[in-house]
Amino acid sequence: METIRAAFALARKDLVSWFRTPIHVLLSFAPILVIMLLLGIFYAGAETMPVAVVMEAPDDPVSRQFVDTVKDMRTAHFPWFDVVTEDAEEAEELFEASRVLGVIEVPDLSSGLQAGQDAVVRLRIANLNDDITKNFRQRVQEACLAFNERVQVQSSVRVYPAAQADFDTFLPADLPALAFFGAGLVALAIVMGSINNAATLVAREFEEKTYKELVLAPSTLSIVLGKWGSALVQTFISVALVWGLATVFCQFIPQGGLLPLLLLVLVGVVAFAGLGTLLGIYFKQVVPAAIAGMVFAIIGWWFGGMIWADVWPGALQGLIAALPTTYLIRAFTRAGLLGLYTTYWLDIGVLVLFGAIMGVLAYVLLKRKIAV
Amino acid sequence: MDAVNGRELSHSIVVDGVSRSFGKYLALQDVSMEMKEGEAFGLLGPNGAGKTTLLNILCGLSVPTEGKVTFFGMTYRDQHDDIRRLLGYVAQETALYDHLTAEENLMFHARFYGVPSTERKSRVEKALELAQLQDRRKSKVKTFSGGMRRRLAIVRALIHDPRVLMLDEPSLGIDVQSRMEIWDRIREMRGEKTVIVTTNYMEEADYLCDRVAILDEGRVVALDSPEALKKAHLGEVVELSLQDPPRAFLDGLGQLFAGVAESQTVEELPEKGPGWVKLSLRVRDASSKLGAIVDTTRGNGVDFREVNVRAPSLNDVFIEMTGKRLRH
Repeated sequence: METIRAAFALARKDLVSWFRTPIHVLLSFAPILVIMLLLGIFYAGAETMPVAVVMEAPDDPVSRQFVDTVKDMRTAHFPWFDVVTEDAEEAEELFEASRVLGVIEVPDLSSGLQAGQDAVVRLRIANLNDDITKNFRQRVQEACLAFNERVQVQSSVRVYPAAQADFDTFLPADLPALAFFGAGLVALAIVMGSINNAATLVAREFEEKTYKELVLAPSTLSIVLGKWGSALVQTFISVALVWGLATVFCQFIPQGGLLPLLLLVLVGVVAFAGLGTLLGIYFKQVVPAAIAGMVFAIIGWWFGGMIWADVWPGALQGLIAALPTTYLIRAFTRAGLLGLYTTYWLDIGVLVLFGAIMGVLAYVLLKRKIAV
Repeated sequence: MDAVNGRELSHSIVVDGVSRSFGKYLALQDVSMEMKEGEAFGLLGPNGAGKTTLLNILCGLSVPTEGKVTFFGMTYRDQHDDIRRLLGYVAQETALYDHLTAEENLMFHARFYGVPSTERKSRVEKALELAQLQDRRKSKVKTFSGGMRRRLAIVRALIHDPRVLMLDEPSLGIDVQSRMEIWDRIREMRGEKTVIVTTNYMEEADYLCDRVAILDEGRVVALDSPEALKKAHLGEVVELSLQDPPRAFLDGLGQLFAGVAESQTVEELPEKGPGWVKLSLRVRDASSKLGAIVDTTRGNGVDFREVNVRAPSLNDVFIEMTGKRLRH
C-alpha cells in the first residue's frame, strides 16, 4: 500500500510538472504528429483507388479475366482498385465529376491476342504528373503483367513479386486502405507515446539530478510504478488526439465494440511504458532515450506488420513474430476494423507478458544503475 | 554509550573496514568509524578524498567493495527499506522540481516518503517556517536564489522526520548570509538527529561538527572533535607578513627555524600586493619563542610588517596531517 501511495504521489508530481511545461507537453505529441504527417504524404498514393472499367467486348471471357485480375490486385492489407462501375456512360460521368481517379479501357482481348497482336489497355487519367496518377498507371501495368502470367500469352517480368506472395489477407477486400492506415496510426501513437513518455520522465530525473532523493525512498518499485502511471495519462491524451485525427482524416471508425480497443490501449501503454522506463534508466538523458524510443517504435511499427510484413522473406518472418509491436498492431487493426477476432486474447497475453518482462528488467536495472 | 560534547550518545552508524574501488582506482581504503546518535559528524577532505563516495555508501547509493555499514544494528542487505526510512539526504547539487512551488515540492516529498496525510500539512508548514520561506510558498522553485533552494532542499530532507540527516557539501556555491542561516539550522538539529556533513570548508566543519573525520586519498588520517584535533596536533601558529623575502630565506626555512617551529608554510598574500607572503610557523609555547622568530627573520634581512599569534584552525590540522591545503 505504501508503494502504491508513493507511486501515486510521483505520478501526480510528474503530471503537474508536465502540464506546467508547454515544451514537455509539445514533446509528447510532436513526434507522433510529425510522423503522421510524413506517413500521410507517403501514404497519399497508396490507398485503394476508385476507378471505372470500360470493356470494348463485355461478353469476351478473356477481357473479363483481365477485369477480374484488376479487381484482385492488392497488397497484404488492402485492394489496389475499387472498380466503381463498368458502365461506359456512368464511367464518363464519374470521370468528369472527378469521382473516379481514372478509366481503364479494355480492348477486345480475345480477338487481338488470338491474332498474335499486342493488346493495348488505354488509361484515361486526369493528371499524368501527379504522384497518385503515376502510381495508378504503375498499378495497372502491374495488373497487365499479372494477367499475362495468368493467361500465359507471353513471358512477363515480375516487378513486384510481393504481389504474388501468399500473404495474410485477414481484411475484407472492400476495406478502405485509409481506415487501415488510421488504425495503424493509433497503434503507433500507443507504442511511441508510451515508450517516449516513460523514457523522458525517467531520464529527466537523472538529467536534472533529482533521482537521488527518489531512489533513497524506501521502495524502489514505487518509482517504476509512478513513472508508468504518469506515462499512462500522458499517452492516453496523445492517443485520444491521434484517434480523433484518424477518425477525421482516415475514416477510422471502429467496427466492433469500443471495449476491446480500450483494453488494448491500456495493455499496450502499460506494456511499452516498461520498455520506455528501461530506456530512460539506461540512457539517463532525455534526448538519447527519446531517440532510441522513437527508433524502436517506428521500426517496430513498420516491420511489425504495418507495411512491409508481406515482402519479408520467410526466414525473416520469425523476426516479425518476435517484435511486440506486431501483436499490438495486429490486435488493434483487427479489433478496430473487424471487431473481436480469434487470436485477440492471445495478442493481449503476449503484450502483458512483454510488459511484465520489461517491468522486471526496469526494476532490476534501476536498482543497479542508482549505485554510483 | 559515549560522551560527545557532554551528551551521552549511543552509536547509530558503524562503518567497519569499508573499501570502495572504481576499476583500478581505490576511492576508499579500509575506512572504519562510528557515528553516534544525535551528533553532528563531519567528513572533511579535499576534492577526491573520498567524502562523497563514503556518503553514497552510507545512504545506500553505492555498495562497498569490502567491509560493511550498519545502521542502528541493521544492514542494507537485510533491512534496506527500514534503513531508508531513517535517512534524509541532501545531495551536493540542489535538485528540486523547478516547475513546482516550494509548498508542492515539500508536499510531494511528504507523500512520496509516506508521511501520514493527517500530518502532511503541519509538517510542510513547519518546514517552510524552518527554511524561512513562508512568504514564497506559492512561488515556483525556478525563481529561487541558490541559498533559498539550498534551505528548501534541507527542510525537504527533514520532512519525513529521519533519524539521520546526510548533507553533501551543504554550503557549496551559496552566499555568506545563506551559509550562516543554513549552518544555524543544522546546529539546531544537534542532539535530535545524527547529522553527517561532508565539506571541504574548514570553518564549516569547525562550526557545525561535534567530531570530524579527515579523509585523504581514501583513508582516514584523523578522527576526533575539532577541539581535540587542534589541541593534539598543534600548539599555536605564529604568522608573519613578509615583503619580498629572498629566495634563499624561503628555501632554508626548515634549517633557520629548527628547534623553534615544528613546521612552517608559506602562502602568497595577493590582497597586500605583489611580493607579499605569509609565513606560518607552528610552535609550542609561542610567547617564549616569539623573540627568536623575530630575530631570525630580521637577521636574514627580511622585512616584516605584522606578527600574529593565533590558535590553530582545522585547516592547520589538515595541512599538518596531509601536507595539502583546503579551501577556506
